[in-house]
Amino acid sequence: MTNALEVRDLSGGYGRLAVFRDVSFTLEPGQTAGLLGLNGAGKTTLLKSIVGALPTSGGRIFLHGRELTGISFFKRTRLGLALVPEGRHVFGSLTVQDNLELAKSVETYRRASESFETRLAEIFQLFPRLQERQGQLGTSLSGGEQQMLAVARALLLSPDVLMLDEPTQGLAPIVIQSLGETLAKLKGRYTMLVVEQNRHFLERLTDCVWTMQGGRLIQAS
Amino acid sequence: MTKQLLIAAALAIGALLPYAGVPGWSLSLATVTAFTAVSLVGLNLIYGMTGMLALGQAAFVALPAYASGLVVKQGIPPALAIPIGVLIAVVIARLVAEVFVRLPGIYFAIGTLGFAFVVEGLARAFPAITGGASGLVLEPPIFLSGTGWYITALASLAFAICIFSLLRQGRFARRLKLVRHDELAAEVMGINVPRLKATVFTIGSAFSAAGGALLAYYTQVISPESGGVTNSVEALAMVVIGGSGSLFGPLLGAVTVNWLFSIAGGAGRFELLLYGLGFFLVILYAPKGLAGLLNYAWASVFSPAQSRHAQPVSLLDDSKASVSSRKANQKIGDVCLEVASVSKRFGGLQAVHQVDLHVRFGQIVAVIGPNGAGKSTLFNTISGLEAPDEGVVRIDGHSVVSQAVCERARLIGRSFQVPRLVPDLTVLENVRARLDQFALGDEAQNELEARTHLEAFGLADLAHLPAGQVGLGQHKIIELVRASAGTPLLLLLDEPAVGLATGEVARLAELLRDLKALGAAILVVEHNMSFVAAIADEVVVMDSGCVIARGAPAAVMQDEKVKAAYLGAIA
Amino acid sequence: MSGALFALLGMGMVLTYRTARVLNLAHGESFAVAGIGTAVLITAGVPYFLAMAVATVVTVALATSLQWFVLRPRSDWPPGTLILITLGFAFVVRGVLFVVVGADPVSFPTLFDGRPIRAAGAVFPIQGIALVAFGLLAAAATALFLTQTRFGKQLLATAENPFAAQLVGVDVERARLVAYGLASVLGAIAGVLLIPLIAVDFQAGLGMTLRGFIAAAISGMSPGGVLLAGILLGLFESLVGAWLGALAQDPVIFVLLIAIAVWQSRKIRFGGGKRA
Repeated sequence: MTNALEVRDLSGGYGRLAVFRDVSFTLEPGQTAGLLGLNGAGKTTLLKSIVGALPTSGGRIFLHGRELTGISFFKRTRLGLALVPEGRHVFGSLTVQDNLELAKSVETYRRASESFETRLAEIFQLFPRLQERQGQLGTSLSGGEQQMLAVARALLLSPDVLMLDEPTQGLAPIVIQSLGETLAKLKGRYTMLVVEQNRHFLERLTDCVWTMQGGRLIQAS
Repeated sequence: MTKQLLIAAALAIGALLPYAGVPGWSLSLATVTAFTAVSLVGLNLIYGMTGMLALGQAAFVALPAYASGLVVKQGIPPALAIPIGVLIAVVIARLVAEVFVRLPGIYFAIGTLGFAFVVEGLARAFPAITGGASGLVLEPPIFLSGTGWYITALASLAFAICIFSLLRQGRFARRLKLVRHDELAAEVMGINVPRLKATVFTIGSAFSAAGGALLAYYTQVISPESGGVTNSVEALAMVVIGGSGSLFGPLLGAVTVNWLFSIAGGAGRFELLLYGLGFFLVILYAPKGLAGLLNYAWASVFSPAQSRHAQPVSLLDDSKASVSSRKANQKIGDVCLEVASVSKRFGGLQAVHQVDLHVRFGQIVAVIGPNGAGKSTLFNTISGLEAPDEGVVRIDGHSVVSQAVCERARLIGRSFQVPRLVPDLTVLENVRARLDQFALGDEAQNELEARTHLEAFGLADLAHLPAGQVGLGQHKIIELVRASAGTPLLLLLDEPAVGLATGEVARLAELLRDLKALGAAILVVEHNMSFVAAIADEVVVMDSGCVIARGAPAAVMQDEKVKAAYLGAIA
Repeated sequence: MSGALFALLGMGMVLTYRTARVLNLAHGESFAVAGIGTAVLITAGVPYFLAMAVATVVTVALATSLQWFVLRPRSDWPPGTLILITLGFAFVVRGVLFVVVGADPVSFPTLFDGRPIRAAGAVFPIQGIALVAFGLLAAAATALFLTQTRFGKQLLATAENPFAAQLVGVDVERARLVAYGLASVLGAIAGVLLIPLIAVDFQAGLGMTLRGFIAAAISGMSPGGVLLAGILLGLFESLVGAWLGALAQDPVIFVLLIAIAVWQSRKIRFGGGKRA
C-alpha cells in the first residue's frame, strides 16, 4: 500500500539559512500524526516546504507515490495536498461563501466522491457557525471563526493529505475544544499532519506524536 | 593608487576632447553636458545614495531660470537675479520636501512626477508671465567666449563632484545607506528619517538648481519642457545608465547619452527609443550602470585573486576577550524599564491588556508565550513603534511615551527577529550605526568602540567585510553587537537565539551574562526554553495579551497555567 | 467624457496593482499603442475594424509580455526597481511610437458619424457619447467580472494574498497574466474610441497613466470605487477646464493627486514593515 505522504531526507530553510535538516517520515492513508515543537524548531518552514511555497535544499517528497520535486505550489494543491497555514490567511475582502467557493477551482483536478454542493452541506454541518455567517466578509469573523473557515476551505478541496499549522493558535480554550472535536470526526477519512505547540491537543487527537527540535525530526511511536 | 591616477588622466584627456575634433563632440555640447551633469549630481544624491525615486527633478532645474527671469523683469540686474533664482528654487524644494518625504515610495515617485507636470503645465498656461510654450529669453550678466563657458562648466562640475565625494564618506553617507536599505531599522537606530530625507532632497535640488541656472543662461532660453516630466525621467535615465550612487555616474551618463545622440545625426526619430532601450536594458541587466561595469572590469583585471566570499565564521571561535573592557554601570539594582498597566488594542483585538513589567539594571527578564500572546506588540510599545492606549512606559525614571522612535533609540538598543543589516556597508560600519547617531565621540573614537565590541563577541575578523558577504547565521550576532554598542540603558532582544546552533546559543548566553554583569538591563523575547532558563533572572509569561505568570524560570515552568497554555510542548 | 477615460484607465491600474502588487507605469501606453496603432494601420489602407483588432492584439501582446518575460522572473526584486522597469518599458514603447509617427498628433475617422446631439447648451459628438457609453460599460463589466464571477474572485484573491490563493489551487501566474491582458484591453478601448475625437501624439500614454493612477489612488485601489472615482474626476476636470481654462486642468488635477497621496499615506508607515 503506498504511503499517503512520504518525506525523505528533506532539508530547507530561507536562502542560505538552513532551518531544518534531513527530515524523514511517512504517513499512511488515514493516519493522523502530530508534530510538536517550539518556535524556531522549523515546523512551519517544514510544512511550507512540503507544500511547495519554499524551495528545499535537498531531499524528496512523495504524494501517493508520486514525486513532487519540481511541481509548483498551486499544482500540489491540485494534486491533493492541502495546508491550513499558520495565521489562517482567509480572504478578508471576500465573503465566507466566496472563500469556500474558491475551493471549486480545483474541481477539475480532483476526483471528488460527491458534488460540491453535497460536500458544502456537509461542511456546514460540521461548522454551523460558518453557515450562519455565509454572507459576511472574511474580515468580520472572529479569530476562531476564521480558523474554522480556513479548515473548511481546505476540506472542500477534497485533499488526500491535510496539513494543519498550529490550528489552535490564538484561540480561546472552548474554541480549541470544539475544533478538536471537529477534527476528530475527520480522522480516518483524511490523512492528517497537525503541527502544534499544545501537547495535550495533539495527544487527544492524533495516533502518534513526533517532535521537532533544532531542525530535526524525532519520531516517537 | 594606480586607479586614481588612471581616472585623473582619463578626466584630463576627456576635458580636452572637444578641441580634438572628435566627431559629434563639440565645445557647446560638452559645455551643455557638463552643466547637465552638475544637476544630475543632485539627483544622484537623492536617488542613487538615498533611494528616493524622484521623478520630477527637472522642475528644479527649470525653476531657478524662470525665477531669475521673472526677477529680472522687475528691474533687478541679472548678476543678482541668478543667485536669487537659485535661492527661490531651493526654498521651494525644501517646502515640497516637507510634504513629499513622508510619502511612502510609490507615492513619493508619483508625487514628484506630478510636481514636474504641474510646473510644466503652469509654465505653459501663463504666457504673459512665463513666455508660454516658446519660453523666456535670458541674458547672461557677463559675456563669455565659448571657451570661457566651457571652463566655467568644468569648474562647476569639478566643484559639484568634490562636494559629492565629501558627502559620500563618513557618517552622513552611512546614514543615507541605512535609510535607503531599511527605514524602520534606521528609525530604531535613532535616525529621524523624514528630516534626513528632507535635507537630502533640498541639497540635491540645490545641485539641480545650480546646474539648471547655469545651463539656462548659457543657452539663453528657458522653456516649459525643460522643467517637465520627460526631462525629469530622462535625467533619471542618465543617472541610472551612468551608475546611480557612484561618484562619476552622472558624468558618465550625461556624456554617453549626449554623445551617442550627437553622432547618430541628432538621432532624430530614434532618440527616444534609444533612451528607453538604454534605460530599460541597464535596469534589467546592469543595475550599477556604466560605472559599475568599469569597476567590475578593473577589479577582474587587477585583483582577481581576492576571494569574493567570506568563510562563515562560527561563534565557537576561541576569542576570549570579553566585554569587560567597558565601564560598569553604576546603577545596578535600580529599575531601568518600567511598564505600567500598558494596554493596546487593534480594532477588535485586545493585543496587550494591563501589562506590568520591570527590568532592573543588571537584570535579564525573558518574556515567553505562545504566538499571538502580544509579545511583539509589547516590544513595539516599549521601543515606540506603537503607542499604548493606556499605561506608561518609563526608562530610567522618565516617561518615554511622548518620544518618537528615533529619540528613544538613544536609550534603547534593539535587535530584530529577522536581522536587518545593510548589505552594502561593512560589518564594522553596520555596528557603528547606533554610535553614529548620538555623536558620542568623534569618528576615531566611535570606530575604536565599535571594533572593541566586535572583538568582545569574537567577530573582529569580519570587521571589514561587506555585511552582504557574511553568512546569515552571523547576522544575528552582528545585530546584537550593534544593539549593545554605545552601552544603551536598555537592550531589547527579539528572539536572539532563533537560528543559532547549540554551541552558538551557549556562547550567546555567556555574552548576555557578561553584559548583565556590566549593568545592562536586558529584555528578551524567546521561545528556546533552555536558553531562557540559562540566562533569565525573571520570566514573564504572556497569553492572549495578559501576563499569566511571573517569577524565576524554574518556578514558572512548573506552573500549571503556563503548562496548559504553552509549555505542554516541552519534551 | 474624461470621466470614462479616468474610469477605464483607473480600472486597469487597479487591476494590475491588485493582482501583481506592482504599479504599472507603462499602463497608459496601451492606450497610446492601440489608438496610434489603429491610426497608422488605417492610414496604410487597412480596413477599419481589422485595424482596430490588430492594434488591440498588439497592445495585449505587449502588456502580457511585460508581465511574463520581464516582471515575472524578477518578482522578488524590490518594488521600487520593478516600477522603474515598467517606466523603462514605457519609455521604449514611446520611443517606438515616436519613430513610427513622429511628433505630430495623429487621428483617424470616427466610428460613429452623424449629427451631434445638442443638449444643455453643449454639443456632444456621437463618438463622444459612444466613448462614454462603451467606456463606462466596459469598466462596469470589469468591475462585475471581478466581484461576481469565480475567475474574477480568483483574481481578487491573488491580489489580496498570493500565498493563500495558491493554497486553494489558483494558478497565480496565469491570473496575473490575465490581469495585465485585461487591463491593456481597457486601455485599448479608451484609445480606440478617443483618438478619433482628439488627435493625440506619441506622448499621450504618460498622461493616461497618470490619470489612471489618480483614479485608482483616490478609490483606494478598489474595483467598484474606481468607477465612481473616475466619473467624479472627469466631472471635476471639466469644471476646472471651464473655469480656469484648459491649460490649468493638468496642474489642478495633480495638486489634487498630491493632496490625496499625503492623506492616504498617513495610514502607511515605514518602508521596512513591522513584525506583525
